[in-house]
Formats: sequence, structure tokens, C-alpha cells
Amino acid sequence: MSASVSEPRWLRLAAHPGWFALASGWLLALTVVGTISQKYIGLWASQQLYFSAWWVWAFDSIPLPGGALTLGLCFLNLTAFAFTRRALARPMLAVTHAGVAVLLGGGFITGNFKSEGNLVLQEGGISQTIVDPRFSELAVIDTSDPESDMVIAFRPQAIYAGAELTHDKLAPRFTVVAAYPNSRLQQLQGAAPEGARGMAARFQLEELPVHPKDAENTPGIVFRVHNSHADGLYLLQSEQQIPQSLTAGGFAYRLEYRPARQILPFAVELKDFQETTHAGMRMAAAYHSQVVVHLPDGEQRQALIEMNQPLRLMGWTLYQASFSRGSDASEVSVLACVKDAGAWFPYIGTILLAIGLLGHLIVLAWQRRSH
Amino acid sequence: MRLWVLLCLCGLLCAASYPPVSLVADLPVQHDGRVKPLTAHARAILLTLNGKQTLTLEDGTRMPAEAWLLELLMGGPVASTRLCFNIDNPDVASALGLDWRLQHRWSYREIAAPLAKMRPEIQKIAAQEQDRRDLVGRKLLTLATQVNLWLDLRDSAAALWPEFSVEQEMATILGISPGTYRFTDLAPLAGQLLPHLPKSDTGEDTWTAEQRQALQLARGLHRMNQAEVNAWAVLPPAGEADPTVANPEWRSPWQVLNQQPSNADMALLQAWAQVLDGWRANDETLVSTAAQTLRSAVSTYSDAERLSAEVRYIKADLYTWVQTIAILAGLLLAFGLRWKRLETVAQALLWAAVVAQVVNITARCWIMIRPPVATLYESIIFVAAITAFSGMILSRWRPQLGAWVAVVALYGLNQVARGYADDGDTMGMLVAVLNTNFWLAVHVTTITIGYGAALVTSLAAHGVLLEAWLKPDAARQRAQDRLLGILGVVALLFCIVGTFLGGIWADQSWGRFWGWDPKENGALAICLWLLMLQHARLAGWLHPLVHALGQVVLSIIVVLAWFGVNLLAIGLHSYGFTDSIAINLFIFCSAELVIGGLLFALAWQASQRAPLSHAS
Repeated sequence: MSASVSEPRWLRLAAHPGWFALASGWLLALTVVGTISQKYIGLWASQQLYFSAWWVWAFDSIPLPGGALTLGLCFLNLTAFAFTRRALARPMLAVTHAGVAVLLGGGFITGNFKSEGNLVLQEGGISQTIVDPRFSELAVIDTSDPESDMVIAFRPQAIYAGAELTHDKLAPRFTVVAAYPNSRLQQLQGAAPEGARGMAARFQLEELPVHPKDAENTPGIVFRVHNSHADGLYLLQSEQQIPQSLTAGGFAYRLEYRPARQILPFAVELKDFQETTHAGMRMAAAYHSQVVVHLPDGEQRQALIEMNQPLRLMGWTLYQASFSRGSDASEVSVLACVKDAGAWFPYIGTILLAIGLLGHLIVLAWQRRSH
Repeated sequence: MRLWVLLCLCGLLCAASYPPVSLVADLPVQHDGRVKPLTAHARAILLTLNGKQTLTLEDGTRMPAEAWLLELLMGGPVASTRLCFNIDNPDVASALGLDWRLQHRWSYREIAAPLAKMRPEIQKIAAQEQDRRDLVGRKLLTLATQVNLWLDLRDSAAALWPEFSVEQEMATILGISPGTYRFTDLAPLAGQLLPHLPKSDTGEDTWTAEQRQALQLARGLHRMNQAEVNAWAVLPPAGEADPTVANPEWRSPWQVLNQQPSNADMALLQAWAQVLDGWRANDETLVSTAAQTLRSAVSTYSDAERLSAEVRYIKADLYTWVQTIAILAGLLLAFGLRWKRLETVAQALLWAAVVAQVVNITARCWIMIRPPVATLYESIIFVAAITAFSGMILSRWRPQLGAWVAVVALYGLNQVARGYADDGDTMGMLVAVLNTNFWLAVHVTTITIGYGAALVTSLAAHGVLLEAWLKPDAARQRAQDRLLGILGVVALLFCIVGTFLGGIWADQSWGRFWGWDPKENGALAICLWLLMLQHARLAGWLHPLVHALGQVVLSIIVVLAWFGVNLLAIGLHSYGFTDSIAINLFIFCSAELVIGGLLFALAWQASQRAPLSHAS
């Protein structure tokens, strides 16, 4: 199984199937470990730890390739293969591998550029804000003006231990001391730390292990404020009831730590939500939301969003994700909103893959016949 | 000798004190979201309570589920003496103060009082979180639920029991002849009782006979109507059939009686009452005519063809036939190594069995009006068909190997399927996200075919190793290696395309092509294993025997991906969990590793002894 001598050696080496054999074996090991871990730390944490990670730490000290790195190496291996003699000699095989490359490339784009969140609507309600409960943002709300609030929110990616959070329109500066994905408030034990203000003067934030169920996690943040009238150490928990506020340079601010928000380019109004159950059972057969979309140019559009039938609009896709019933029988519909530049890659990739493999099999059978 | 046994059986059947079940088997009832024949309903309920689809009576004879159900519905004392409640855990039995018995089944009469005494405890268990309950607590809760189901079902039909005896005086007043009557007969006349009721301020000794009887009847009617249970939905929706509603809700007798029943409803109830009367009196003609009336009355709301098809499907129980043929064919194949003729017979039998399996699956599709694979149970019988079919195709080039693949698939997988059929009706309803025929047809079918193709590859690899041990031959080894390579690529095609079609479905449904969900990971694991073997082979790293061993291990990966991920009970695909599955999985995986390792070691030794050139 050797290509002709005119092919550069490094290309042959890079395209060697052995790399892929090793990579897929390793990926299989990661998949097994990652899947089992999901029972204990939940889907999201396992994704972060094993599958989206570049490195995986064995025994907390030995670095091993993570899912992202392994797939990246596969991508390089595949791309090298496309230029080999063998690929030209077997075009159907090349198509198959191209399909996989497209899939992997799409995966990379999706992983890094996808926007998503939930739009939670009560029947009769209207909203333009989507919420991503997996990440938390630090919102600094300028409440000086009685007519309106200005919100400056620091994105989740900017929040990590040691990060400096500043903005031109904000006088105060913030330094993150610690950010926990799951936390618990405890009464302060011992003396308050230096400069503790607000809740930090009476409580301390303790980091908890991530709970497998996303909804059970309460993110928390500890940070220092500089250049205000109330500099010092503060702490916040996600969506806590007690606001933390301070003044600086003549402005009044309210601080909130809350699930990351994004604003859609259009507003969605829930006219009616309906659940159809199977006859005589409590199992839901289908559910749908009747909505009216208010577009930025003033136009209004009616739409029906149901399971397996999303609404696509202005680059966003809205899916019927789930619903809940309030104690007063009011219905709340949860629409999952996704904006993904890489959304079409998997489709193209799968088609190429299918055509390629099928074609390869046909070619093989044809060759056998002509022997 | 066989004739005697047959005659005795006939005698026993004739001695049965109820009409033939076939008269009522196809009568429609709505249960668990769909309209099904009485046979399916009765078997599902009995299976839930008893763990079996037939009831073993005290004298050792078997009572069909339909007869048991009708006996329950007709009222009377016998039903509460039937040993239909299965308590398989001795701790639960002792918690209820019951003496253990070998067949571990008890009647309502035996467990009602102990269960009632434990009510506060059971309520406490119900209030706990699911993971906190211990085994005995869970089983007690299940038993209590089952007893409630039994009671609800029985009381739903109470309006049809001849409970009320009307004596001469009241009979004249009501304008009927004296005798026993049902609630349905007396309810319309209840108004006429009112003027004859004794005044509340008068003493009991001043009442006339009429007043006494009127009061007794009124009380009886009122007390029975307190049983507003609606567990027996035998009445179609009121009014005209609405074509826009896919699966309209049927009604139970008490629902109808408490809401102005129409003439059609009353006629239907009357017909059912007659069926029960006929059943009670062992009157075939009455049952037959009443059943016929019922059929024509519900004809617009139920598909008579589908109902009788389902009855035939259940009665035929082709799966047992398929398994029996598979065993027979296996035996013939074994002897066929010596006598070629037997091999041909075995193959013919196996083809017949494959056809029977396909017929079963097609029947299910037609009855349920949905694609072949929608539940875990259906995936198992479908994979059995695919694997067996592929095996028979393979047998054109490898007569013994292909046929054995079919034997193992038809017997083994159908046996596994039985384990998953034990939670009642196998034709259940689906949750909302699965309620799409297109994706069920495309993704689920493809990935299931992939499982089948992977199993064929794995089973073939077992055969290859076996042959390499018994008859080592260099040329043969290369040919077998090529075969496994091709089978592997076919399996890879279906598995990869199936896996990514699943991703596309997920993208269409909730905007996420790939989420590293356990089930997705399981399917990916199968693809990765096949890919790894394929590329290692291309790299020249795999000795043919090592390749074969790798394909043998494939079966473990398929089984873990198929059933094992459900045990993790997380993600969108969590369903089908029981403790026994975990144990069976463990046994299977261990056995496969041992067998695979053993076969490999023996084949390797054989190849070392014989002069072989390394195939690269």
C-alpha cells in the first residue's frame, strides 16, 4: 500500500492512516470516559472537560490531547490525504474524507461562533431577550436617570479569576477575585476580609462542585471595585434577591450577576401555547406556540413554532424547546434560539460522506466483478 | 400417548365455564393513548399485575387474559379470589404479613386488608424523591398502584352489574316488572323515586314498605355513583367523528352516565351489559349477538380491520415460531456439515423464519401506522430481521457462516426482545419529540440497520476465528479477511450515515447537531471502533486474526451503545432501565470477551503450527 515515489515523504507521513487509527482509538477512550462522567458532573461540564477541551489532565498533572485537539489532528490528517496519489486514484474515497473534513470544520465553527439562548415567554407576553443559563454575566446598571437604565454587561468570557473589567462609560473598575460555576452563601466565619462591603461584610462565598443538573447550579462571583465611592470587596450570586449597589462620580449603579443575555433583532410575542396529550394520558403528544414576530421595520408576522418545526428568521432559528405550567395554570413556553454560521456544514458533510462511501462500495463491487 | 394428552386438554377446555374468547377478542377499548382490541388491553393489564399474559389458576390450569378481565368487569365474588397479583420479593410479602408461596401470587382478597393497613407508610414513600426510595418501598408503592388499577377497572363497569333487586311495590310504581336491575336501567327512573322517599323527620318504624324500598334503591344508586372511576374507556367520543382530531378521547361508563347520555351511548352500554351477562351465564349466543351489536355501534370510530389484525398478530405469536425454527435450523446446520442436504433444508427454513419476522414487523407498522422502529423493543426485533436477512444473503457465499448468523440473530435477539416486552403493551405511544414519522423512518431505521450490519460483521468474525482454529489455511485467511473488511465497510456506511442523520434531526428539532449525548456517543463509539480497525488495517498494522478479534469485540460495543447508555439514565435518550438489564449486559460482555479471547488464542496457535505466510 505505498504511493508513488514522486509524492513528498512528509505528505505521505501526514496522510498515513495510522494516525487516524490512533486518533480514533483515543477519541473512543475519551468518549467512554466523558460519557460515564456525565452521570456525575452533567452533560455541560463533561463537554467542557473532555470534548471541547484542547487538553485533558490525567491525575491533574499529565496533559493528554482533549477532544478538540484530537479532532483537529484528524482534520489535518484528512486534509493531507486529499492531496495524495491514493486519493486521486480513488475519488469516491476522497469524497468521503472530504465529507468528514467538512463536518469537522463545521464543528469548529459552531463550537466557537454559535450564539444560543432561551426565550421564555408567558402567554400574552412579549420579549426580545434570550437568556443562556450556562454562562453568567456581570451587569452594571446605571440607575441615575429616573427615566431609563443603561446596562453595561461584561461577557462571561471576560470573567475569570484575575480579570480586569473596565469600560469607557463606567467610572468604577472591577477586578475579579473568583468566579464559581456553582456556589453557596455562608455566614462569614472569623473577621471580614479587608475592604469587604455589602454582603461580603457578612457572608462568604463557597465554591461547590458542579451539579449534573444545570438548573441546580448557582454561579457566584467575588470581585473588587476601584474608583468609586464604595471601593472594596463584593460578592454576588446569580439572580440573587438582594441587590448590591454603589455610587461613583455622581452616578448610581446597581450590580447584578445573572445568566448571560443577548438581544434578538426582533421581538416575539406569545399569543397562545397549546399542549396536546395522547388521549386519556398525561404524556404530551405535541406542543406548539402561536407567536407574532415584531420585525425591526415595524412589520408583524404570524408564525407557528412546534416540535420538529422551527421558525427561521434573520439568521436565527427558534425551536419549541419545552414549557412549564405556573401554579395559576398560566403557561410559559420556552423557545430555544440559535444562531449558527456553521449550521449547514453537517448537512453538506453528511451528504458527501454518504455519497462517497456508497460510491466506494459500488466501485469495489464493480472491480471484483471485472476480475 | 399424545392423543390422550390432546383429549384431556380438550376435556379441560370444554370444562371451562366461560364462552370462547374469540367472540370478544376484537372489541375496542381505548387504553394508554390508543384504541386497541380487548385482547391487547387484557394482556397488558394482566401482564402489569401478574407478570404473565395468562393467569394460572389454583388447580394449575391457565386462564386467558381476556377471560380474566371479563370476569373482573362482570362483578361478583370470584374475581377477588384470583391469584393475579405478583409479589416476587419475599421482603415485601413479609412486610404485608403474607406467608411466602412458591408461585408468589396472591388475590385481592388476601392483600387488600394488609395493604390498607400500610396506607400511611405507602403515602410517605410516594412523597419521597424517586432515588431515595429503597427496593421494598418501591415495590410496595408499585403494588398499591396495581391494586388501585384493579379496583378502578372493576368499578368502572359497576354500572352494568345486576345489583339492584326491585320488589313488587316499587316495581309497580316504576312501571317495570320485579327482578334484578342495573344502574343503567334504574338511573333514568331515579326521578320517580323522589316522591316516595320517607321524610327525614319521621321515624323509621313509621315508614311504609314502598318508602323503605325507595330509600334502599336511592341509597344504592347514590353509593354506586360515588365510584366515579373512569378506567375503562369503551365508549367512543360523543357526536360526529371530527377528522381534525387525530386521536379523540374515548369515554368510560361513569363519565357518560353523569353527563346526559345519548341514546347511542345507552345502547352501547346495554350491549356491553349483555356481553357481561352472557359471560356470567356462559351463554355463547348472548355474548355473540351483543358483541356484534357493539361492533356495528363503534364502527365509525374504530378501524375494525386493524383491530382484528392486531388480534391475529397477538394470537399468532410468530416470534415463538421464529425462535423454534431457528433452533431447528441450527441443529440441521450442525448435521449439515456432514450431510449437505440438511444444510439446504436449514437454509430454506431460515428464509421462512426471516419472512415471518418481516411479516410481524410489517403488521406492526400497519396496525400502528408508523415506521418500523420507534421504541427500543421495536429496534430489537428490527435488528433481528436485518441481521438474519443479511446473514442469509451472506450464506450465498458462505453457506454455513451466513446461516449461523441468521440462527443466532433470530433466536438471540427475539429472546432479548421478550425482556423488553414485559412492561405491558409493546405498541405504546411516543413522546412529543419522537412524534415525527419522517425522522423515525429515516434516522432510526438507518442506525438500526447499522446495528444489524455491525452484528453481522461481529458474528461472521466469530465464525472466521472458529474456522481459523479448526482449519487453518493461508489463502482462506486472506479471503476471510477481505470479507470482514467489506462487511465492516458496509456496517460503517450505515452506522456513520445513521449517526449523522440523528444529528441532523437534532439540529432540526432543537438546533444542536451534536451534543455529546450518551446515545450519540454510543453510536459514535461504534463508528470509531470500525474506523480504527479499518485504518489500522490500511496501515498494515493488523494481522488478519487480530482484525477478526477486533470485529468480535464490535458486538460488545454495539450492545453497550444500544442498551448500556440507557443505564446511565441521563440525556435525551434515557429510557428502558431495569436492574436485570445491567446484570445481563455484564454477563454478555464478559462472556464475549472470554469467548473472543479464547477463539483468538486457539486460532493463533493453530496458525503458528501450520505453515502460514503473514497476510499484510
